[in-house]
Amino acid sequence: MASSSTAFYLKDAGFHIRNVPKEWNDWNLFHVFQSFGRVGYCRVAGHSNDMQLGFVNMLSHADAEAVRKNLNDGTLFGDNYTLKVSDHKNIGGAF
Amino acid sequence: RGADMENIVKVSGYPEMLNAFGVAQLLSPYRVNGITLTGPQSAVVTLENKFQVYQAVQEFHGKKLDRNHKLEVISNVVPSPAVQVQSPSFK
Repeated sequence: MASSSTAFYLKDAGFHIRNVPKEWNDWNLFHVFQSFGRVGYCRVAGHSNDMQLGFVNMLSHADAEAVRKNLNDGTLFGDNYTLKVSDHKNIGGAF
Repeated sequence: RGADMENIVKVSGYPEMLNAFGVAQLLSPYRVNGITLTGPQSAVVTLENKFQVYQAVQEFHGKKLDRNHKLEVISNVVPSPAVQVQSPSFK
């Protein structure tokens, strides 16, 4: 894979997603975030109980800011889903 | 970092004078990992992943650079969501 969730990213442009519906794949998660801006990277990472985890990195700070504007208290409400979105912090602080 | 068919776009129709750096600039801000010039006005470009390829095609295919140059950006990437695409209920 070109990148993984443990690699370094553009600071403040990455998100951890919890509560991803278990029938979703990476394209589903991608399309949700593409509606806000340009996505640099997107992955669905496996199950916790019956939901999945996801990682999304936006391509720029402006795109990431557009995502944050649409969050309600860290939650993204959709038609049949509720994603819990939190900021991804790089360890070590490069970039 | 494996070479992957999904990460590749074919770009053509740009001005003949561009070198690989110029071609990479056309696709900004998507992250370019490699470029092979395949002709005077065509190149095969490796981007970071299939999502960036998909978006670059959406954003740049058919884009008019000036009255003599229209970009052609094509790829093999087909979006394959596991369930029907749902967008957030508000924007």
